[in-house]
Parts: sequence; structure tokens; C-alpha cells
Amino acid sequence: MSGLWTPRRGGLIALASVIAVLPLFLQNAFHYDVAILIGLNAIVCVGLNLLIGYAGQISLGHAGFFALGAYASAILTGEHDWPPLAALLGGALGVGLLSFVIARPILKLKGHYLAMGTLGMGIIISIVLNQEVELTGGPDGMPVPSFVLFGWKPAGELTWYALVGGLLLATVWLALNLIDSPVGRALRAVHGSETAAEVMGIDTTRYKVQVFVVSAVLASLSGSLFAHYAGFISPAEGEFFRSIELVTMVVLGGMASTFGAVVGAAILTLVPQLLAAFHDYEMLLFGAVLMGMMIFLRKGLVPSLAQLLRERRK
Amino acid sequence: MLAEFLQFLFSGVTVGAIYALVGLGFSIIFNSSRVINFAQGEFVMIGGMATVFLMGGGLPMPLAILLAIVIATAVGIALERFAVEPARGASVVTLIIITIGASIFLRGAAQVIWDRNFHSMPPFTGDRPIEIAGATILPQGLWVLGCTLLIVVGLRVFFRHSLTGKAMLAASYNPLAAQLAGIDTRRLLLISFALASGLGATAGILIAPIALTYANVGVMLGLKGFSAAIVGGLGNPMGAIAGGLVVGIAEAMTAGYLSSAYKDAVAFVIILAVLFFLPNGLFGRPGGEAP
Amino acid sequence: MIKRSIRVLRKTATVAAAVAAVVVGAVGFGLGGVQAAEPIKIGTFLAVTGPASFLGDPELKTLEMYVEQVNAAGGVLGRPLELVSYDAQHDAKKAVTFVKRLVEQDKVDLIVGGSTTGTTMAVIKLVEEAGVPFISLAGAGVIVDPVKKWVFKTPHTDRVAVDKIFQDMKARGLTKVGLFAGSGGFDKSCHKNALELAPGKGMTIVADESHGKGDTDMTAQLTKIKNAPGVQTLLYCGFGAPTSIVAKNYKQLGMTIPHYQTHGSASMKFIQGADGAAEGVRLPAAALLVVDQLADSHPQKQVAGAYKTAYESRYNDSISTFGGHAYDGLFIAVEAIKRAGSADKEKVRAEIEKTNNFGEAIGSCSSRDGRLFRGLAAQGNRLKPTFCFLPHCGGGSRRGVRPGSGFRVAMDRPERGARGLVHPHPNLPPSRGKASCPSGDCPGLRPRPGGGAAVDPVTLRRLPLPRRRGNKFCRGGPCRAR
Repeated sequence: MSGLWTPRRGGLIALASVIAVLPLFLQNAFHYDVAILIGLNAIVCVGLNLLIGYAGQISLGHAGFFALGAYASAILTGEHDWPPLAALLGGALGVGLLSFVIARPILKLKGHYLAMGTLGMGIIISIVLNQEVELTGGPDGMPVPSFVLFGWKPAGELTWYALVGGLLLATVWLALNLIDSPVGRALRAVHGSETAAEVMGIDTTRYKVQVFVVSAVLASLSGSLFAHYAGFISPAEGEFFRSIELVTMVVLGGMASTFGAVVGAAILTLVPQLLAAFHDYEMLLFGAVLMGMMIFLRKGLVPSLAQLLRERRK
Repeated sequence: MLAEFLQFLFSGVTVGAIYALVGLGFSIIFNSSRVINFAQGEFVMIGGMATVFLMGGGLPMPLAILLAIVIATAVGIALERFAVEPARGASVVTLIIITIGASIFLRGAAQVIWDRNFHSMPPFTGDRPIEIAGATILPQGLWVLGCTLLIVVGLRVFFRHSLTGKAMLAASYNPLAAQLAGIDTRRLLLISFALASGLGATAGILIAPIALTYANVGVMLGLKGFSAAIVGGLGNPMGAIAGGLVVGIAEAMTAGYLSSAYKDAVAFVIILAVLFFLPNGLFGRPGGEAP
Repeated sequence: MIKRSIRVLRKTATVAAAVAAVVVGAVGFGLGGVQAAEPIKIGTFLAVTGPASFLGDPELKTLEMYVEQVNAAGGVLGRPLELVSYDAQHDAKKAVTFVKRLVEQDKVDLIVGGSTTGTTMAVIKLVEEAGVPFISLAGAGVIVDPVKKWVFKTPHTDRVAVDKIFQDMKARGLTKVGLFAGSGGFDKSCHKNALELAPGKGMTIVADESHGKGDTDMTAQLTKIKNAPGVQTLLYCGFGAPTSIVAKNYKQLGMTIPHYQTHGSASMKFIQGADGAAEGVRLPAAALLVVDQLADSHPQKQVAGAYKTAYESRYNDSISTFGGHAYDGLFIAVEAIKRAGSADKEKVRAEIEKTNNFGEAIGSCSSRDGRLFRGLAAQGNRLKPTFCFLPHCGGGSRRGVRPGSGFRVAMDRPERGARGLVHPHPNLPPSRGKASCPSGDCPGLRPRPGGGAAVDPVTLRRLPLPRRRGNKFCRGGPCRAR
């Protein structure tokens, strides 16, 4: 053991400092709002990165889990008067079970077929949310009661910012621990070569299923929080394009880089805000920015920058 | 009863043929580059929109159609040259995201260059429905089926008998070996993008008189085309045709006999079921896996 | 080890700095240039792109055009108007963020916008807390029911449209409805209202079908409706390209039952897109769409005509009701600011609430009457529609796709005319307010030349609606304490 300064802890401390210092630059509720959305996206992305970056399994359906978590909170607190924390955990449990059940058959698929499988799953979830108007309010969405934690009600953007920031830190810590654990090593072996890993006696399916469930649960938790924070939820959160957006965040930040996932989430949440002023050209520019970043930083932002730094040092 | 069934079948086959053409584009590009081109649906949109606007500019229909296909093909070539080529060697997910970026870019461009409205296009020949055993089909539906058939036959001949076609098949099985045998795989990549974009545009033009056209028309068609290519087995062009028809007919039959609200969901359940039992699609060979 | 951790730390710090730079960049963004005469800022967030762009696109175009026009004429109270707009698509999350941006960063004086019910509902809490006057352009009644202090809306509710359609069906002896809906917000809301209203109206839904996003063929669903036992009429709830596809497939299948669509189809694009197959479809729509057919004495004739000319010549695009909603929203706001004598939020809000006899309205059901305007949805279920039928609308040969097809013919043959139930209403002179308006006698609407074959008898009733002002309720006349 090497004392206080493990790389892991260093990264965590850096992230914590950014979260702590950022409010100095945030001038109004809108800025906080963007920062909170970045945090919520980052939580999903850190989980998704475990699946994509470490286990090498793509998922084009994670927005479905996010939306399921959000709707679980919305329906359980709004219609059935559950305490928000119970609803949040209940939603996470439900999503965990669901993802566990579908993980085995879906993760049997490989490569693009897996992409199709997860995409189909996400689309089915999204269709259900749209069609069950009685339950979900249909495409127009439904309101969500405020979040209350043992009588404490986070009100105002700063409180939410602190809450989401804290959770993000916890998630990153969890992910970093997972990566350094035997599970993480097994996962990397699966990514490298599944056959080789199997020959080594690793139960690859079990590890893949575990990480799939973990990432789904994280998405669900983030979704629940988002629902309470926004106070309103619509099925747009579960659409296919949200899933693509999440994967893009992970890839843009840099696969197999937990901090990369956070950075990717930050950039892809910010860019649309920056482009919003271009109106008619917004979509066009967004597409161009996306293409450009992926062409020139094909390994993702954080690994590419790290490489650049290394080269310069040499 | 029979009439009802036939009607569902006609609906499914017409729509399925379009999915098949879009799926073909996915398959052809995948074969030569291992890239899933998520901008494939946008070629469908460009085909339809360009034709409508060229006709609005006073061009006669056949000329407008031809020009629209040329435009789409040019866009396809540009996509390969300026987006896919520079990222050669990047991971599969990176390439997928580049094509998604391209699809957003193209949709954005279409909204700026053309508009956000939906537009109709007159059918190629008449709009009097043809009745067959109590069910009806539009002449345009026959055009869709006829053209699809023609394209399938043409592609088969191309892949079996032309040097370029054979080279493309060879490169799809083993790019390195093909390169060693003196095949210019970069040129093949360009050809496959040109072919796929042309096919997409053709699909867009064929369907426009039935389903209208607008800047976002390619989103769902692209997704369904992808499903078709997957169900048929990636990298197998004829599989994509079968996959398209399976998806189209499954949708129509579900809407007809089960639940139209869950039509799309059931179609995806069928796709998932196919994949669970045949993890490489109906006619796929193993190795559709991302390298 | 320490070296490595420092490296990681440095790496992370670099990234963090980059992120911070971007954030700061974003912060700086939008603070923009300083203007000489301080403009009155009108914020808007619309579904300009995406599946609901049929709403947001004309709305934004209308707002842009008239803000320019108002500024060219010297602005409001000597100050120019500044339109701050964002594209929220149909996404509630984007709407929330953009409204925060409008309120907190752009510091707008009021908001006119929100194309869809979902995006509007998502931001209500926000505008109520921030205290910014907000005129929504979305349809559902829940937006103003219960009444919220800062929230208004211009369009009539989709419930009113469905109700009106059912009345017309009933009048024609059609009670067994085949219901068909898309999967968008508009479609679903209309579908839900149809299911809810049907029993009370003596209607039976004998078939209930829907189609997915981006579907290209609906013959399967229509075949089912066609073969549903006892079906007498088809009601399609939807908008955009599917409206035309449904009409085409209806024709392809040789269906003959009366075909109704909603105001989601109320634009010339539906007719052009259907390529002749829209013949005979009935739909409720704003008088704006048939402005050519209004009598010269009709109070809306001039305003709506001017709007149509301006919009169509500037954008080379046909008008829709939705642009009309935006027009009304903008001018209700402008008038309120003028009366308030400042852009003070509370004063403007009070003036918007007092809006009465807004004679300039072109797209809104009840905008002439402030009470209705606010009360329309506040009454929810018990709201009596204020439509009346126009002899014909929706059709018109004005811009037929191909000469000789479809609508030109329709105009010449009243019995097959493409008719519409046109609503709004009705700048009834106050004295006639409570009187009913029998067919063909809608004030200001020119009776159909050559007989009223296409006219259906409908009652036009103007309603005294309760409106809350402070803690008093007003019913028709002056307010009295409750």
C-alpha cells in the first residue's frame, strides 16, 4: 500500500476539487442547472463506461433504464405516496432485476448484434412509456413530487448541486474500486479476449451480467434523481437518441477511462447549450462537432490528451 | 378474411421492400468497412427531398430522380472521403459515432437548405388502387416491389460476375488477403459508400409518393433498415432483403392481428427472438462481431 | 508510485481545467453585446425541430416576423422588442434548462412559447417561482386548470376540438367511431380525450388503432377499422405527414365512411400531401385558414388576411393555425405591455389577465374575450365550445397540387365538398353573446353560395366563464367577491 497518494485517490481528489470550486464560476440558476445535468449524465456514463470501456459490451439501450428509474420514482411517489427514497431504491431494485433477467440472453449476442439487441430493448421500453398513457401520462409526460429525505427537502440549485456532486464522487469511487478489484481484472480479460478469459477459467458471462446490472442500476438511480430534480418527466428521456447520446459521452471522453466518462458527459451536455444560439444551424453544427471530435480524438478526449502530454514529456 | 390477410401482406411487403433497400446499404458498407453507417437513413431523406425540390424547380420527374440519386451518391462519397476515411483504423464504436454525427449533420443541413415541412411527390404512374382478391395495392407499391426486385437481381449479377463485385466480396471476407491479392480496398470502400447511398436514395424516392418526405424521414427508416440488416445477418446483402421483408410483414401482421399500439414493439421482440435463437441473424455467418 | 499519482493528478487537473474553461466560456456566452435603448426581451422555447416541428416552425417564424415588424414601427413604449429563442424540440428536459436560461441568464421580461403540452407543463413550476408572465402555445387544458398566477395560453384545448367533432358526428347520425391515433403527444392527448368524451356524447368507439413514429403505411390499421362491425365514421388524431398518409390509405382501401381529422391536420400541407385524397375530410380549424372565404365585414378578415399575406410571401410557405397561436400570444403580450406602460412583470401579468376583446386575434379560439382566453381551460370538462361551422374550409382550390385534382373540383360540387368545422370564433357582438347561432348564420361568416348543403347545424354559444382574479370570481360581468 502506498499511503495517501494512489493514482485513484489523486484522481478522486482532483474531481472533488473541481466539484468544490466550480460554484465560484456558476453565476445563476441556469448555470447550476447545466452543472447538475452534467453530474446526472456523468453518473450514468461512469456506469456505462464499466460496460463499454471495461467489459467491451456495447449498449444502445441505457436511456431505457434511466427512464425506468425516473418513471418508477414519478409513479411510486406521485400515485402511490411512497417516500422518495423508497421509490428511488424500489426503482433501482426493479431495474436491477429486469436487467438481470434480460442480461443473460442479450449478452450472449456479440458486437453489432448486441448493439441491435440492446437497442431493441431500449425501444421497447420507450414504446411502453409512450403507450401506457394511464400510467405514464404518455408522450406529454407527468409531474414528479419533490424529493424529501427524512424530512429534509433539497431546495434550490446549490443543494441539488451538492447532492448530485456528492453522488457523482461516490459513483466514481465505486467504479474505480470495481476496476481494481478481481471483477475489474476479469472484465478487462473479457474485453481483451473472451475466449482466452474463458480458457483461464473466468466465468465471463457472470461478470458481464454483473457489470450490466451495475450500469443499469446506476442509470436508474440517476434517472430517479433527475425526475425529482426536474419535477417533470417525459418519455423523451428514454428515447433511442438519448441512449446514443450516453454512449457518445462515454466514447468521446475516452473508453476505459472513468474520468473520461465524466468529461464526456460534461462536454456533450455543454455543447448543445453553446450551440443553442445558432438556431437554424444548431443541428448542423452539432453533427459537425461530433464528427470532428471523433475523427481527431478517436480514442476519446482524456486518453488522447494524456497521450499528447506523455509525448510532450518525451 | 383472405382479403384482410392479403391487405396486411401487401402493406408489409411494400414497407418491407423499403426496409430491405435501406438494409442493403447497411450490409454493403459493413462488408467493405465493418462500419455500421447510421447515416444510411439520411440518404433516404436526401433522395426524396432532392427529387421534390428539383421537381419544384421545374425539372421533369425522371431527370429530378436521376439528379437526386447523383446528389445522394455524391454525399455518400463525401461522407466516406471526409469522415470515414480520416478515421480509418479507429475503433468500431468511434466509427459508429462518426456516422451518427454525420446523420445529425445531414439532417441539420437539410433543414437549412430545404425546410422542415413535409412534402408530397406525385406517384410515378397513376394513383388508382389495383384490386387483387379484395385487397388493394397502389401502382406505386408495385413500383417499389419491381424496383427492389430489379436491384436485387442487378446486385446479384454485380457481385457474382463483375470484377469489382467479386473484389468487394473478397474484401468482405478477408480485407488483408484481398489487399495482398492486389485489390485496392480503399477504392472499394468508396464504391461501397456510393452504392449504398445510391440505394438509400432510390428507396427514398420510391417511398416518397406513398409516405411523403421530410427532413426527419430517414430516422425511423434508417433504424428499421438496420434491424433488417441485422435480422438477415450482417454482411449478407441477400439476408438484408429477407430481413427487410420479415420486419415489414411482422409489423403489418402485428398491427392487423395483435395490437397496433405495440406494433413496433412486437416487431422488435421478433427481432430479439430471432437473435436469441440465431445469434448471427437468419443468414449471417459468424464474425459479424465487432473486431 | 507517488510519481505516477502526481501524473494522474496532473492529467486530471488538466482535464478539469479544460472543463472549467468550457464552463466559463459557456457562462460568458450570451452576455453578448450591450444595446443602446434597452429592449424588452421576449423569451421563447419552441419545438422548432424534431417530431413536433410542425408546431414550432410556424410559431417561431411568426414570432420573428412580427417582432421585426413591431420594431420597424418603433417598438413598444419606444423600446425595441428582442426575441430570445431556443429550440427545445419536444423534450421536457431541454425546455426546463432553456427556461432557466431565459429567466436567469437572458433575463427576459416575459415568455411566449412552449409548443407542446409536455414542455409547457415541465416549466410551469419554474415560471411560477420566478414570477415571469408566460403565455403558452400548447393545447391541453391542464396547463391553466387549475389556474396558475403567471400562466396563460392561447390555443383552444384539444378536448374542445374532439367535442366539436363528436357533435358534428352526432348531428349526422354517426355514433360508432373507428378511432385511429399516432403516437405523438398531440395524438395521444386527442385519443385520450376521444375515449373519455365518447360515452357522455353517446358515441361508441368500436375500433381503437394506432400507428408508430415515422410509419409509412397505415393500411393494416385502416383495414381493421374498415372491417370493424358497425363502424360508421373514422376519426384520426394526429399531425404531420401521417395525416396525409392516412387520407391516402383511406382512399386506397376504398373506404367510404365519413372521415374526420383534427386541427393537427389544419394546414394546406395536409391537403397538398394527400395529393387529392383529402377530399371530404372534415376537420376543425381556425378561421385564419379560410380567411379568403370570410366576408369583408368579418372582424378577423383584415388582420388574418394581412397575416396570411405577410407570412406566405415572406416564407413561401402556407399558414397554419399554430402560427396564429403565436401571433395571438405575441400581440396579447404587446398590448398588455402597452397598457401596463412598462415591462414590469407584475403589471404586465395583470394586464394580460385583463385582456378583453382582443380584436386582433387570428388563431385563438377565444382570444377576443379575455375571460374565455383565460377561462377556456379553467372550466375543463364543462366548457362549451365556441366554434361554429364554416360552410367549407380546409379544402379550397387555392393551392391545389395539381390543377384539376382534388379541391378545385370539390369547390364546385358542394355535396362532396371538402368541408370543415371551423372554429374560432367568432367575434360575436356582445349583444348576441348568449344567443345560439344556427347553421349558416354565424355572424361574420359568409353563407355558402349556392345553398348550405355543406353546412351543419351547430349551436354557437358564448359562455360566461368563471375566471379567478385574486380571490374573486368573475362570471361574465363585473367581478364580485365570492
